[in-house]
Amino acid sequence: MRPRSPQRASLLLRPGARATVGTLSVLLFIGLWQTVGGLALIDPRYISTPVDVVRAGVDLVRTEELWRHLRVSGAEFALGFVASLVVAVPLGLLAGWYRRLGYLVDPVLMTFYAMPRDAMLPLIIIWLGIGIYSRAAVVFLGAIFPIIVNTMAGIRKVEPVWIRCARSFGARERHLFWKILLPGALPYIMTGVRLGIGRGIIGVIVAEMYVSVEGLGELIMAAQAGLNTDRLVFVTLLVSALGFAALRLSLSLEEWSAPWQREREL
Amino acid sequence: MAHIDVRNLWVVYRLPRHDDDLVAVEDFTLALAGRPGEFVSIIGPSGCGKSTLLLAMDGLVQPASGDLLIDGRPVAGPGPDRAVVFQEVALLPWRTVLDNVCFGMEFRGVAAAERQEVARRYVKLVGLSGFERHYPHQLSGGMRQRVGIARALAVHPAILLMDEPFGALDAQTRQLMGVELLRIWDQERKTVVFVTHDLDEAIFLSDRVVVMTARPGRVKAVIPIELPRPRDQGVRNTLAFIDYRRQLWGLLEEEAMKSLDLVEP
Ligand SMILES: Nc1ncnc2c1ncn2[C@@H]1O[C@H](COP(=O)(O)OP(=O)(O)OP(=O)(O)O)[C@@H](O)[C@H]1O
Ligand SMILES: [Mg+2]
Repeated sequence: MRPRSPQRASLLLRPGARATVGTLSVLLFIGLWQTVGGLALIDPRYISTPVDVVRAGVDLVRTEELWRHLRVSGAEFALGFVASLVVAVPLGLLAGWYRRLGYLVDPVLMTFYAMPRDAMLPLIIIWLGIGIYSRAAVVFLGAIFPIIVNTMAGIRKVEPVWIRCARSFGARERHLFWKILLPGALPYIMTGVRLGIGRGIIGVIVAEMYVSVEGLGELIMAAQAGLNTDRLVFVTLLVSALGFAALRLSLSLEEWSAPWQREREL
Repeated sequence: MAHIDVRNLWVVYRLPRHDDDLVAVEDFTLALAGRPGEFVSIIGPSGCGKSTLLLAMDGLVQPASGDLLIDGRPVAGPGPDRAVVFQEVALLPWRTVLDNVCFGMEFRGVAAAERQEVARRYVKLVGLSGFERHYPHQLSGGMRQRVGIARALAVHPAILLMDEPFGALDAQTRQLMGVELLRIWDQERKTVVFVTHDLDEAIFLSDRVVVMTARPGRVKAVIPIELPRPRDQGVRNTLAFIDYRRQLWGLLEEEAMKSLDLVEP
């Protein structure tokens, strides 16, 4: 038998095969959806069709309505997330480094970490009203705990010999934070950031669905109330796409923060 | 140029969840001449307390009792007169070779531009020119060790505490690095404490070789090496050298057997 020429190697094994197959599967799905909805095999009021969804999207973009809602959701997310970073990273570093502080905050942290934040929404609204701040607070609460917990875990993974070396060269406590603990824990902090982003996005949407007159969550609720399935599906897909993009970005951040770990795993 | 005086030093580790503490160094006494700086090697079986002794000299580990004096002053902690080359190397994985070498200088008031310049010089000295921008995980074990050596040398310590600094090097590179170390020592007149498992290396480099007992580590013997300096590779084949090796080997063998719980030959 003749050996196979390299060109005839399976499509699945070629570099880029993953992208090719992935694209094919998405196209296949869209085609199927269009057929089922277009031929009314299932009532399009329930599942819409890709063409209608795109049309609804174009309408939304054209009326500038989408941008307004996106801006609101984005601002809420950014506000809550930045605030959670600013609080969580220093707190996590301190609680990870100073044992006693760690013992002190650990039970509280775990309780909040395990608590469904959306269940706290009514209480938050009593405190902060129904404006942007209550929704930012939901993002804040969603993101802060995974970041603190992972930062603390990162400190525990800092090699004692790095600390020893820094001390030997004359590092003081504050140097340890900047030069050893923060960079040493960074890969773990980034894992916390990734989890925090995911929870933050869910937080924004759910909070807006619960109580809001603006934002993507509200857009979803309004579309539902008006039985506008096309728009409803479009906004839902848009939220997923945004979440996916944020996830990719944070995965890259995670890899970038620890090149030595990435190569070690190969 | 610093005189080290270790008197009746005990170092004890507290072990959590154990009844007994672990005595790592027991009643260790040794004085190193500071002017001109003396080169002393320490050999002893694995686990006998060599690293512990070095860490205590740097002030990273608190002795349980005894005195540790440098130029007559008790050691309270790490100081700018000392630098350690760690057995575990202890490079920071997120820093390049150059930035790792800069690390020690950052706590000693050296301006950033000067740090870079000095670091470059020492990177070159340990034969790593061209690797300045590499990260530790991109280097071999021996290359990493040389970065650790450059980092310690770059702060110009009067006392250099080296814990098996050439352990991961091949025999040839090891010898060349030894010669280089002697040259620096000769130029800058440091006091060097050098831990090694390589008897030839200890003899070739040192003014005196300290043989430690199996744990708990005490001084078993101190052998002055009276080979003329400067030394070159030829000295390794002299009868005197071979005699020293035989003597040290004998001393060490007893202790190695003890540390492995084997019976005396
Ligand atoms: N941080 C620590 N906590 C508890 N015990 C320790 C610690 N460090 C070292 N020891 C113990 O102290 C003893 C001496 O250890 P040390 O590292 O000084 O040995 P060593 O002579 O350097 O050995 P090697 O040649 O293998 O490097 C060992 O029995 C070890 O188990
Ligand atoms: Mg050791």
